[in-house]
Amino acid sequence: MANSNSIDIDMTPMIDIVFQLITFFMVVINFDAADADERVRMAISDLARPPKVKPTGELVLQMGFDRVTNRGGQTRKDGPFLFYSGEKITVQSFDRVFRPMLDREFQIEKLKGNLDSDGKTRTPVVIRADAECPTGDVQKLIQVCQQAGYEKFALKAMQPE
Amino acid sequence: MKLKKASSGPEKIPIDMTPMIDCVFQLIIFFMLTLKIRANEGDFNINMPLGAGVGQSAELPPIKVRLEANPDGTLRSVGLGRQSLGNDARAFGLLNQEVLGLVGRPGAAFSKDIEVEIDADYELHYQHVVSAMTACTGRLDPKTKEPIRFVEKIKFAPPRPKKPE
Repeated sequence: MANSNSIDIDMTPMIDIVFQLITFFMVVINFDAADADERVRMAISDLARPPKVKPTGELVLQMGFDRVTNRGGQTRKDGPFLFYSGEKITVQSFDRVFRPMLDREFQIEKLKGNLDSDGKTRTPVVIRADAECPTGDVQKLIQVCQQAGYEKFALKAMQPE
Repeated sequence: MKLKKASSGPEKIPIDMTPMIDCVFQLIIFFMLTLKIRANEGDFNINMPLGAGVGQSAELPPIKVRLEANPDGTLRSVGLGRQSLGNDARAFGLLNQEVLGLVGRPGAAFSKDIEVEIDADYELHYQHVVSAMTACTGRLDPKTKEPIRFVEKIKFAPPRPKKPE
């Protein structure tokens, strides 16, 4: 018990503020691997705006480089690769490695009933491609998705900071 | 028998807040250090059914934008139809003006039917394609800083073959 000389400090306002701060950071923080992925440095566009209505389902594909910075501060990059399902897939092996994965995704869409009357899926493919990727490689990625039954694409870009 | 003297009110039990405050500050420091403020991402929506070739999907012929690349992937030239617009940031500004000239005014009735077809070299860095899409689809309102879109539909021409190194 406090003796008669001690001064009681009311901690309630401070604890209130501190909890508000924690809540703010918890809400704002984003652990989403798609956003935090440094391998994909996207192009910047003034007109890029987040979609007003977020689609219920989307297939996110990330195309970028493995960047390694040495002690001299020089950055070496390998790729481009498609980073999907924990694998690094080269453009040359899209048909052999990535296409079966896409076909599996398409079967899941079919089971969920997400197909249109023409047998194409309504799920959009979100492509997050690095600004330095060759355009032809991005187009090849789109082609593989088209062949698997996807025809809606959203190409991501960053808003200027 | 000695009776206990009734207390005047409930006895205050002191709670040691120190461990909780320690934990809470640790949590705040963790969240502050892991927080990354990143710019928002935005979309360019394109609808590309398989087999929709050049000029098949729209009644109006598409506006053709040609992007040529140097062997290292940098931009060599931006073309609109047969007109060359240059190879720097000003070229995309010109492209924006030209497309707006073709559309007439933002929000025109037929602007929803107008389609832009981007035909880029294989090696071209993707950032230039994004710049071309930005230049073709609209501009920022100087007052509100909100985008004014004048073309909704964008598609890619079939990919060009990779040039031998």
